[in-house]
Amino acid sequence: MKDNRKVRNIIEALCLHEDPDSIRVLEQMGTNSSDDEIRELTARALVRKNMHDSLAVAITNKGKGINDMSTVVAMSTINELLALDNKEEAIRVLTDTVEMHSDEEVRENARSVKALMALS
Amino acid sequence: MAIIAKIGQVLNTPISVGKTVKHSSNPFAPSTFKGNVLTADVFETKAAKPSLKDKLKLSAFVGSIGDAFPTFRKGIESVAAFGNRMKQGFSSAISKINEIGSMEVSIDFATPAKAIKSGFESMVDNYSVQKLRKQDVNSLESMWKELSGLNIAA
Repeated sequence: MKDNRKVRNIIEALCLHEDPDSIRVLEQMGTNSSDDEIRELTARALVRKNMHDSLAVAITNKGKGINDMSTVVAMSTINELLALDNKEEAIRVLTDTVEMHSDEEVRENARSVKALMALS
Repeated sequence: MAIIAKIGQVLNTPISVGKTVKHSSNPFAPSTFKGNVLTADVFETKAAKPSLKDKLKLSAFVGSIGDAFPTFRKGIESVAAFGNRMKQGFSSAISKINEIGSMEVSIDFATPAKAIKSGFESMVDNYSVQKLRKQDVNSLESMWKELSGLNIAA
């Protein structure tokens, strides 16, 4: 079994980092990883940052975050969104995605998650 | 020993069942022993003639044997049960001793050693979250690339 402890710690450090450039690193390095665990950790870190750009990566990009091909990654991202204390920014990003995104599947996913967040 | 010899003497004497002897000189003639009437000849011996006091004692003793046996039996049974319990307890104790004997007594140093190792590693670990947070994003990106270059999709 592969030991991703160091990478996990880097993802956690980037999640806690105040530099906005950390979002770019997480998106480029983490969400493009072939390792499901790394993609899952990255998507959750992006949601926990709770910033517009980081949430946009996890919500509006096809194949990433809630739109990931892996059910585990998608569900973990949704759970992280539902666990947010302040959901305002996430709901704003979801609303924009439902109204304006070009891809139907992404819009449907965003609509479902938005409904879940409204209920939670 | 003397009293046992006398009991044997009494028991060896023929006893007439259901037969009553009247006009006997023996004062114990009307005495019954489990429904049997003791004849005058019971205590008649040529060698040693028991005294009146001995006859009274023996008669009382013989009469009490029948009643005493159940008590003896109960006593014997309880003793047997006690012995069985002791045996069981002893055998379980033996098995416990065997179990203990087969066990190896050892002190596990693994857990404290692991904790010490973990604490030491956290001190010297350059990849702890606390240390990584202090680094700039570019450094983290470089480290990540170095660590998981194979994990990044081409």
